[in-house]
Amino acid sequence: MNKTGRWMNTVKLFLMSCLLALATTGCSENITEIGDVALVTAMGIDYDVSKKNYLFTAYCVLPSATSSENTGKLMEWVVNARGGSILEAARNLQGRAGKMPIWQHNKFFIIGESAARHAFNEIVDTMTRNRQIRITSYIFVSEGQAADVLLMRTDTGDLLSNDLLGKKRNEKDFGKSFSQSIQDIANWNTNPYRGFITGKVSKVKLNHSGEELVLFGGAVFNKGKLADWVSGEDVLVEHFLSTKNKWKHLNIPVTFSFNNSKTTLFFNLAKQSIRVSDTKGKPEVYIQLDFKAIAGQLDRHLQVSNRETIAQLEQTAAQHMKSRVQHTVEHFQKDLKIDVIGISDIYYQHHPKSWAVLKSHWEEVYPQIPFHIAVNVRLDNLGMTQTLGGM
Amino acid sequence: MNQQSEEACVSNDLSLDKLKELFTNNDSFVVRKLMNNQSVAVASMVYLDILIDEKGLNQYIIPQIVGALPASADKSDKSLIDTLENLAANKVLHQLDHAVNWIMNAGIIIILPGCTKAYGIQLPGYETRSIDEPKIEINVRGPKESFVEDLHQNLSMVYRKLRTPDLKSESYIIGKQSETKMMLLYLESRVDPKTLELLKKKVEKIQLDLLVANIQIEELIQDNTYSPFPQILDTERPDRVVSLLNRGKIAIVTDGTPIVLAVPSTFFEIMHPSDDLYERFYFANFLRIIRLVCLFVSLFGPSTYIALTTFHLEMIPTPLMMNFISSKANIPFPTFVEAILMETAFEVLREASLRLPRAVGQSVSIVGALIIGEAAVQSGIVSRPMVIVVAMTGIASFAIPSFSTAIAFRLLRFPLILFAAYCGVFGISLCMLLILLHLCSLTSLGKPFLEPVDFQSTKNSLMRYILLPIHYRINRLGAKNDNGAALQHNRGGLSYEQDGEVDEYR
Repeated sequence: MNKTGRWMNTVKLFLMSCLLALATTGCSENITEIGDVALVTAMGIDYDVSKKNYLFTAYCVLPSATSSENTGKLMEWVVNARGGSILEAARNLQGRAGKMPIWQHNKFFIIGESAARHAFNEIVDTMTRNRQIRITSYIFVSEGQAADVLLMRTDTGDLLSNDLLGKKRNEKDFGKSFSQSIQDIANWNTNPYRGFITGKVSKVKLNHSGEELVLFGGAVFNKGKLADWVSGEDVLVEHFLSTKNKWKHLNIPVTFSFNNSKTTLFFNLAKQSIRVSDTKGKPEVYIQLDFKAIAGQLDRHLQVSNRETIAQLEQTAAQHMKSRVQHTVEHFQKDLKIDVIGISDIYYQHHPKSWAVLKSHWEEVYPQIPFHIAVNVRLDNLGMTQTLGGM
Repeated sequence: MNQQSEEACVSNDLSLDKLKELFTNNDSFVVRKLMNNQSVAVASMVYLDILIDEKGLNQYIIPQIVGALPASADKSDKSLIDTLENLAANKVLHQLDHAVNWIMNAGIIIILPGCTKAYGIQLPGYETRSIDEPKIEINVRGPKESFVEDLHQNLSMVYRKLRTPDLKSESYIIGKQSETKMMLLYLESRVDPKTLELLKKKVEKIQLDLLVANIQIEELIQDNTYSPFPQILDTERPDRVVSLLNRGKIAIVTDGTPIVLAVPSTFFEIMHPSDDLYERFYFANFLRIIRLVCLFVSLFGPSTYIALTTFHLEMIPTPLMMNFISSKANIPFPTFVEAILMETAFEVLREASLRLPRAVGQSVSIVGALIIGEAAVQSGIVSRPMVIVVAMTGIASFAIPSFSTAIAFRLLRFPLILFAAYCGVFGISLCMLLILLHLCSLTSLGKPFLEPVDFQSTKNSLMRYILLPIHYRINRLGAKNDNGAALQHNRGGLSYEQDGEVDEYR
């Protein structure tokens, strides 16, 4: 056979394989037509302690089922199913759904209070094992049933998932809610020495139109269980004591009293260090927080040209912040007795030998550890006026 | 042809008879006997009246010849021969086949009785198209002339831009019946002698009955016939040919085709139109990047959409996914069928608007676009994102400067769609790898087709892809005959040279 003939055979072979590929396009089982899916954008997990079963709720987004003229409209659809395990409940849910639920776009897990108290370990385990679930999605704990949260209508009329996403995004200006990803929670959940905080979602009664969802405060977990709720103020301080990505963009207004006037400054944490020293097997914690502040609102005239006034303002602000941090730390340490900040991790990293001795009775040691808190505030910007405050 | 040749005009009647015999049943074949004042035929004039300028012949040439006609049919009449030799563009022909060629190329032959040769005068009188603005490679700031069908006009356009004796032209006659003239143009000091030799061998091997357009030559001299990619650059712009010649390429000019080929060419040369040199280099580089993007979009657009929406739903951002879901609702076909439908419709539309007369063609494309874009969506046959994907792909394929390369990409889009529908992004990557391997294996007259892509040095590839400011470009005019070793221009250390071979990828 000459060269051209061989080439032609190759071409024929290629064309035939293309035709074969055409025939096989219908065979692949992995095909999911986008028109047949229900996009799950939020999930709720509840646990019934008496019946020992799970209630799995999926908040799905569907194209509106009417004629094609209405394309572009989406409708929400909340479906739930019960099962002995989360996976079983999820499978039972498939039977109820007319469309194929797609889990990959889910961003929020709302865990009911009862599930958080009694079956949190199982939930985290399921989430980290399943490859359809993004480990970057957020976990929130709801007061009461998670299913009720997902069934709520948003005040804005937007999809619930979009509403939650917007609220999560606003966290940096507000600081009193704490969104935690599955990834971080999975890492901490197995650690018996430390606890962690995740966000809390609750329903708030509004005067004019029923109830509204809010992200406020946090849920403290310890040893794989929900231990307690914490206030928004404590959550704000916890932001400052967490990793840099939690406080880097945080710019929050704090109001305090200065020379008998109400002063509001915007605080942005510039530098944070948490150090644990070890003196003869006894740990001591040093927390240093350096804030940059911008004048926000003063109800009294303030002479800016006087450097002493500024220095006093800075000092008062630092004092105020210090007392707030101190209050939160004491609450974690003395009341909850949970190492939310992760002192045990730092201690282990810097003093592994002492930790080896101490870890067996860490629970007794932790409430006794002395915390030394230092806060600096530098007033960076006074705004555009030379004098601040009202007339 | 030489085997058939024989002495033409040894005796007047005999050769004339032979010519007459060859041109029997040809109405345009004219034999004029030139009589002297004693009505004795002293010379015969032979030509094809459709090819020559008969008016010019009657007005200027006949009077001169008649004035010089001798009183008797004396074969050694010197004044007539002198006159003939003095006439412009004359040539002495000795053989019958040359004489025939001369006639076929709009020439006149004057045969003297008893003379051992015939005299030929070129007097073309046929109509040719005048030099026009480029139709395919349109640009804003560059020259506004394009090649025409006439070989001589084309050559003159090139010669006017390259006024150097270094510019060589070698002609070949191709096609047993058509006897089409083809010329190789090159700058002797720039061209690679081996490549030239190779090309000449390939051209000499060409055996055709009829050479209508130079695509036949292109197919016969390219290294890989079965590749979907055109491996030879074609252009209708004389300025582009000149810059290619300057880079050591060989131009192939064919009579009857307003397109000139340049070899050896590379993929990216084909992808860079001459516009690049006429705009500021920032913009030129921006366009080069845009063109690469268009290339990828035109090749992978629909297949990527299929792969993402049927296999990898997690790769689509959630808000976009919501959009897709809402517009894909109630569409009866799977995405794959939708894509095939739309792509086929688009190709049909493109072909239809090309075939129809220009005035109708435009309305067809608008109506077609409306039908496909709006009606198909309204009736719920095709989803909106698919229309956008196909439209984007179509527009991207039109942004590829080389029409033939764009065709190749359009064709390859279909197997890519199949593979994407079968195994998602994996199929696309597989196809991409195959295409890349194929492109790497291609050569153009022995030179790698994918130059300057160099998988061992990204810098090399990048520096030869971007267009540097003119100060840093290589100016080789001062470096003639020294293979570019002694470059005069100070380029501030930014010039790019590799292995003594200067960057000439402009």
